[in-house]
Amino acid sequence: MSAPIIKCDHVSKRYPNGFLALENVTVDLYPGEIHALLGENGAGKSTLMNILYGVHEPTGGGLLLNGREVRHTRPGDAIANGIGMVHQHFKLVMPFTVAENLALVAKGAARARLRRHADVRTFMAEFGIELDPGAVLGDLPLALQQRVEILKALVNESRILLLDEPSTILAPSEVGALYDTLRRIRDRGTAVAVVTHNVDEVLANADRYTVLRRGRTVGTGHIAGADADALVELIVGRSVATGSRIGPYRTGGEPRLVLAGVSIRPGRGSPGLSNVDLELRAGEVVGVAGVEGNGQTELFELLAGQRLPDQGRITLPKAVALVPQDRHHEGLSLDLPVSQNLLYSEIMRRRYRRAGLLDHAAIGNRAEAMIEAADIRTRSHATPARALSGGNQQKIVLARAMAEDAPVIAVYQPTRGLDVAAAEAVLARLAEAADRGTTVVMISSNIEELIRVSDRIVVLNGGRVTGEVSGAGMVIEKIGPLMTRAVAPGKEGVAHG
Amino acid sequence: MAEPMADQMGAALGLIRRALSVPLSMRVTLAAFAGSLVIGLMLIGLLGVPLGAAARVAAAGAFGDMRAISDTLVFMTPRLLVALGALVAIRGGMFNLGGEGQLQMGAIGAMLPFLAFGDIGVALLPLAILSGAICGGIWATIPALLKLWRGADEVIVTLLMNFIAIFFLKYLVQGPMQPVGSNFNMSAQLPSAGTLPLLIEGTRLHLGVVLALVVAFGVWVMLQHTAFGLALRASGASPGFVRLQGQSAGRMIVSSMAISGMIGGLAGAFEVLGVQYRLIDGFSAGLGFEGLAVAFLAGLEPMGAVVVSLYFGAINSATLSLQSQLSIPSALAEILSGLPIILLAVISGVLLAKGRPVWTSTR
Repeated sequence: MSAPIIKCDHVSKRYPNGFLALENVTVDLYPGEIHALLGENGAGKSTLMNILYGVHEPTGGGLLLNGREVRHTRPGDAIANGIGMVHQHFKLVMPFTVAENLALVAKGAARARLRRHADVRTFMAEFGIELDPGAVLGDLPLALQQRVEILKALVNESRILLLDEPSTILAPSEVGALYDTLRRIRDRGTAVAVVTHNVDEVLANADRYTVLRRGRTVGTGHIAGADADALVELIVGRSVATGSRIGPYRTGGEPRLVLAGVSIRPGRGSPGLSNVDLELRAGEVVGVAGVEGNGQTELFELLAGQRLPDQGRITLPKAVALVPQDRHHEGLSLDLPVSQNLLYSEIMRRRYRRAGLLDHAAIGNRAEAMIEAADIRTRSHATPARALSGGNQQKIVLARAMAEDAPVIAVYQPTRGLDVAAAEAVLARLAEAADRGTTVVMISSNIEELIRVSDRIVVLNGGRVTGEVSGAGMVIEKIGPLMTRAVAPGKEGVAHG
Repeated sequence: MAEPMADQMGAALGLIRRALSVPLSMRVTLAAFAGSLVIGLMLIGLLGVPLGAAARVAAAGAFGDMRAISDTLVFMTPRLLVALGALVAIRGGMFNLGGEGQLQMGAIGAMLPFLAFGDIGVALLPLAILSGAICGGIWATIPALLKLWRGADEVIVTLLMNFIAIFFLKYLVQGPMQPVGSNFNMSAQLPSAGTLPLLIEGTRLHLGVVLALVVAFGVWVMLQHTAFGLALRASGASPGFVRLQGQSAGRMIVSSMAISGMIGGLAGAFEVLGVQYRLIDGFSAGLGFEGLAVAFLAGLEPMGAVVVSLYFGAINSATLSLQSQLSIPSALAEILSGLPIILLAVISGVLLAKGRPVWTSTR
């Protein structure tokens, strides 16, 4: 290897809201290598990709293309400099054919080269891809759509190819074929950068790796000689500063919600779910760990009763109280007053009526009591929810869910974006609910808080449950590999303390 | 001496500050109306008419006597009803541009009981009102169902269905509803038992004016004081929230459009039953679109719609006087009706470009 084709040189990125996503990150990409970018959610992988591709501009440091400083202020600049990107959510025109999708992005000489279907065939063959140029994109399976997305990134003679989590939407058997294609691209002298969280995939297919954690580079090197355990440790960290346990370890009572062999087809940048068995019992907190986008959204929608499994059976209790991930669009109706947000479900259950009309006085009084009990900081119960801070908004959502007195409460990323005190309050409320006999299922990518509050943790990886840990077995050393390593079906790890 | 002065100054300043603290959207709306009146006066000035005289004639034409006031109110009524219909749908998340068509179908519906049963006395009027509302409601439910079943965009469907309704009415009064031997594009006249009674002799003030105000009050009660209204507003502003609460967004879409269309249908029915006494081709002349403008100028608030439609009514009756007494073209009414919405859009747009959005999703 000679000189890097592109270098992220001491790149920092601070978002306008003050969040420091990248701090002094340096990554070299060489021609003719597959370079894996490893890390958890929020480690900064996507931010780094977006900086290379001109979606974001760095707030410190810069990019060196063949040793010369370049600025990518928009994707057009990156494309002009020979960078192609494969997004996790495909940017394809589904009703168009393969050839039309390629022609759409081809510029100048490339467009002339792709005029006839035979030309498109030749172009695809260079990368060992055989596809009917006249096939309509929407009719192709996801894995082939992804191939077209890759070809699209290569149409304009890219020398650098970026792929954002390309393997998450693929079945394990399809991952090999993806890397066959990527190796062909590499062998033509292209630098290939792949974002992933899967250590085994990286060990089997990449040439070099860089691990990011909380916006910093924590390790980089050649795959030859790298070792899985060391990589996992780099990704999740040796000892997460684990806070103290919240509440006792509980053992669940009677089963309340059962998933048996539940599968959901993959789609839209998600692996779906495959063959998930899960039994949630009374009076326990079950944590669902995993890197985001590994089937969590599908699981929550199942629990919410918003979708049915494509295969398998789900037995839901009469009611499941919900704390959704998207506070602003699903958790709250932002322009409604705090009081109506708190009591919305009860109002719809024909309470707080007087002579058929809403009893605003009673709603206000009840809301005042809930605001007091849940320590929601608001000027009044009539203030629109929009005016409250994120932590107080989340307290509204949680208080409403708790007030439903449902046998099961499902929470999804309940502490995201909250400050420490607000997050603690949320966790404490969940633990109390379990102590009272409620089944709490908590889907989160924050392992630390899962360990602190859960009685057992199941790990989702690639849409399947790769293992379960409980009690003293809930340690990062056991959970980390389940989240980041490929686990052969039938060999799920189980650890109990 | 100085201290009470300072106190009074302080109190006055506080009052001014309070006055200025009305919501931005209200201030923008008031500015739009003030601006359009100024432009209107300038136009009158350009015609060489003394402004003082014009203002006097206009004021007298709109509010000068019982006749003028009742004209204003009669002009107000269809615009108010269409606006109420539009705002119910829009607050429920359906961008209903079909007020004109729903009004046309309401007018047709109001004729049906008479054509079906003949002059059956006192039962005719309530039947006609009901039939008008139902026809408007059905007409508006079609785009809701198309959206639900096929994902058809309601903006386009409601807009284009206006023209179907307009031409359907045209067909009816030139065909099935045209009295034998007549060459006019209108139906037969309703018997007096089937019309909305006049409230004051010698004026055009009919019962529909009062009913429209009752509807406005009813819509306000529905939106602010019923669980249905709460669900409707929530589903319009945050469909994801409502879905997670286990409510069907589809049901909300259909019911808000049905109600919206019924109110729009009443607008047409009252025009037939209270003003024209028969179905006439071209009776509306864009009332449905004016009503939509009223709804937006009113910030989608029912009580605001009463105020704004009163303005529209006053403009229309004032221009009648300006035309007859000062020969000012009646097109002025259209200019003065169109200007506020244009100014509102311009001011809101400029403020938005400066990063100060005037309107949030809904309240």
